[in-house]
Amino acid sequence: MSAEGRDEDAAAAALEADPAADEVERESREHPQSSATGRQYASGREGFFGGMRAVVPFLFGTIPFGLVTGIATKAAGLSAAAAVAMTTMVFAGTAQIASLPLLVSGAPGFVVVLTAFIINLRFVIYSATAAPYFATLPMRWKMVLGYFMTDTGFALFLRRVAGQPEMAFREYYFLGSGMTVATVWLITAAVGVLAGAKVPPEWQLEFAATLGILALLAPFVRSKPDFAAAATGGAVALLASGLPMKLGLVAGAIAGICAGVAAERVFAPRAREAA
Amino acid sequence: MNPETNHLHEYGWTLWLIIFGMAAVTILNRAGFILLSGRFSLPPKVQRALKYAPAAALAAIALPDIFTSHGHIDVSLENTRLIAGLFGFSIAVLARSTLPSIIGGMLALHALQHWL
Repeated sequence: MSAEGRDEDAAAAALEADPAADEVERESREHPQSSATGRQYASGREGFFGGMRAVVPFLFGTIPFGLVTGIATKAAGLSAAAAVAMTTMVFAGTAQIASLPLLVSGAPGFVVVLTAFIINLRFVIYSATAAPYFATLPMRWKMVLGYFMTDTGFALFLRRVAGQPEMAFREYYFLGSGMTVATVWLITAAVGVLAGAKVPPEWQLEFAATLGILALLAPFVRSKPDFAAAATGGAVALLASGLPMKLGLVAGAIAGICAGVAAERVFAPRAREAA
Repeated sequence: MNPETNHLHEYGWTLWLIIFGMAAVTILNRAGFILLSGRFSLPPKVQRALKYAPAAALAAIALPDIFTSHGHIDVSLENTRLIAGLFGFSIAVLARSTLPSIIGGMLALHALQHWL
């Protein structure tokens, strides 16, 4: 297992794409002892509680996000059972919020699923980056850790193991932070679903899903290539919105990814290779 | 997203299939490389391309939604969802926070509909 060279590159690339990394960085600057560096854990229990404690400051982001997701899901017209099932099983707020306008407009199921897949492609980067640290664990551990992979949990974990690549009980640390985020997320989303049911339709809360998507887009647009990806994705999807089955959306997403890669070559040729 | 044109009920039980499908592809993305660990890795080039997926896909969903009204491209002050959406996005960029941006956008939508 190595955390040098290529892996570090991957970690840097992943962190760059990660909105939660921002928060982690701010947090670790303000409380240098809390996450980036730390002591060795003597037991799984200690590691688990260490992860729990480290993630607490980030719950202030999880709580409103859970509420918004719950309210928007209910406002889109899903039954409470379907809304809670979606929140629990998909366990990815960005994809869930993004699926709502598609469901309301009657997009075919495969387009909704494909969209969730594309939005959650960032987890592939996280998963590939974290994999070496969990390589020796038994399969059941890997499955559990995979489910609890979140933006915040990943960014926090990566900060921690970057300073301590051979950290003992790191899987417990990851699980502690992941389960805490998941618990708070599920509770707040359920509260949101209940609250959403009480909101009168005149409030037009369906629009909150669209606003949520725009708000979630913001942290992903930081560099010129990011901007190229978003602008191209949006423009192509808009111009292709006449295509049947909402395929304009898929075309936009693919065109946007290509534009981002192309813009990276234009704006930062070789810079990445040199780093 | 207009309540009068909500097609959600047309899915019936297939909505559950869609939820299962979303859950399946998401767990695949999350756990895939962890489960395969050591045997495969992701080429850096692919990782760099995947970085752009969220920005591209989120913009591809949201922009057509706010830039059209009644099925046509509408870039005018009349399009209240466009103005409210851009307002909410600006708050998200400046405040780096989701909740104020959604509240601000909703308030802007209602204010515009009331005054325009």
